[in-house]
Amino acid sequence: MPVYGTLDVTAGLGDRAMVPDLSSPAMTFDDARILQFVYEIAPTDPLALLPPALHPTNPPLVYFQLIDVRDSEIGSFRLLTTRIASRAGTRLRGFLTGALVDGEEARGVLDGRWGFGAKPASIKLHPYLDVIRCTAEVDGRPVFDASLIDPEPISGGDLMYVASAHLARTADGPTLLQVDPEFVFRKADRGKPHLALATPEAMGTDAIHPVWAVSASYTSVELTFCELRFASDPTVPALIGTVAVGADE
Amino acid sequence: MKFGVTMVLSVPPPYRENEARIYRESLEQVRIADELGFDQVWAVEHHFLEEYSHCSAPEIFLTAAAMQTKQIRLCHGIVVCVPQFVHPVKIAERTAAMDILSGGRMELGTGRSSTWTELGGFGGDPDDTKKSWDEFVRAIPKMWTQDVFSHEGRTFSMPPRKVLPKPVQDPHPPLWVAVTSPGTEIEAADRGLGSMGLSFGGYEQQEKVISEYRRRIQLCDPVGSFVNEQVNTVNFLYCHEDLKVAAAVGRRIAEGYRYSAAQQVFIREVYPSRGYPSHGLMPSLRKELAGPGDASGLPEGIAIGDPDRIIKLLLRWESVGVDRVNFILNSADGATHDEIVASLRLFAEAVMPVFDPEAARAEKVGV
Repeated sequence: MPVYGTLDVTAGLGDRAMVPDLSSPAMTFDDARILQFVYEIAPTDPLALLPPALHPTNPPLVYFQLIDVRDSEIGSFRLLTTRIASRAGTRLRGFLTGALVDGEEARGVLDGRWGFGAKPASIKLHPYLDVIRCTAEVDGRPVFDASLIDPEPISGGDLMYVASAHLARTADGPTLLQVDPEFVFRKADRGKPHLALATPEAMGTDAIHPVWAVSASYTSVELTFCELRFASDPTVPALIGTVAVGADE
Repeated sequence: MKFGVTMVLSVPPPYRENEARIYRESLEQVRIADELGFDQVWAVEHHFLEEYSHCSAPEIFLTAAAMQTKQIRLCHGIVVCVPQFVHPVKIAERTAAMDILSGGRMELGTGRSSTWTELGGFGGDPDDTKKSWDEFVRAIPKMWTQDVFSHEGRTFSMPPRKVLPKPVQDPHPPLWVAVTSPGTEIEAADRGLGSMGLSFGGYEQQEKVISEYRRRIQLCDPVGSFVNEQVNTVNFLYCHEDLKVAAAVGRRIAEGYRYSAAQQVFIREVYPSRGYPSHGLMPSLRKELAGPGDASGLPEGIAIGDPDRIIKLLLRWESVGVDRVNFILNSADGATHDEIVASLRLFAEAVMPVFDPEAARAEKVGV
């Protein structure tokens, strides 16, 4: 019997990003680097992390993902997201619980078009040959520190990035936006993950407790944040509450 | 075409209350399947797959099944051939012991796990599972047939030992491999193994896979003492005289399976590895079980319906080259035990004779 999330989607809604127009254009970043860590987690209450549109995975997992863009039409930025693995029907989705961004211009665009709701932070990527490390600070306080150790080359085809589900405010009220970027891989590595610090401030919640390292990967890609294609009523199962939006409407 | 049942032992919550009942009912269903003339029962091996399958000790289940059945073949699989799960000697030993206890009715299905839920739980390395599976399937037949077995390999090594007991079947039980990832049918064929297809529908896709399997197995270098050229597929079964009733109950079973399978985490979704190029069961769960269906509104190729619909679709499966169809009977209590038993009886009465050469021959000569 299906089990669904129990998150009250109206609680703290004022902190969520406002996305006024669901038909904003896509944006491509020619040279982006993505550092991702996957961990199993021991949530206090796994269902309380997810909206009723989504159901949990076994085991519960978290994706930490840094997107580093050095040059783009919205400037240089680094975006660090925390997402909980979940399923919309049978499809895997990362439900966004927290986002930090280093880059004020980018922050406005990412919030307004794709509902990241990112908080300002100082985020650094250190891509050495023996270790690739991401650190983040908020108001000078360290909030995140994770490393990929001993990178080894793999094929981009061996890697799967999960589409996101962002809870945002829209003209229709609380809405779950499907954000599914496209990637053209140029280079990919994987390595051993080491998570030194992940604070509730970085993760957007104090209910996530990483307990077991799964994987770490680092890629160089052409990244496109596509137009929004689907949006869901967060209060009912995604299989029945999802509609096409934007160009697919 | 031969028919079997696949026992997944899906248990809805609360688990402690329901597990004993599901085990008891499933054993009873196997006993009835045996009486009705079903050819084989498979008991899956899964670990940690909450609700989807609580069948983590299939050898125990099959031993109990052996004790209360007479004819039905007992298929131990898919056994995970990964050293963190089990040593290959243990697989050879327990399969041989069950072969003795069952009077030579065992078959062994091999595989490597496709979920992080399981592989991660045992600390298996996704890069190595294909290699360990390959080493296991070459070694196990030798353990059964050689007086003394020794091995120096990548996954395991051992000094000369007598692996005991030996199976009753001479030279040994048939061997199968689970075929989920594209290309595994080639690996099955090249090793002379039976192909246990773990997808649910899609005649055209399966026809291609089977055709390639048949072609390649003619050139095989068998890992065992004989070639097991057979194609087995998994399906669902709910058979009822009233198509609407069949559809309602059958859909509950299939949906329960689809949902509970989708809750698990597949390796490719979390761990980048060349060893897992596909998403396991997920594409099949989306396309075949959730597709638009045929004219009856039911998923194409899925054995849910009245006897007439089921006969037609099984004839189609037969025409694409399938030798055996194994039916998942229930998931997440989508049907009651009584409904499943009635479905099995109706299938045996109205469908099986169409595929029984002896019954067809008897009909021709007016017996």
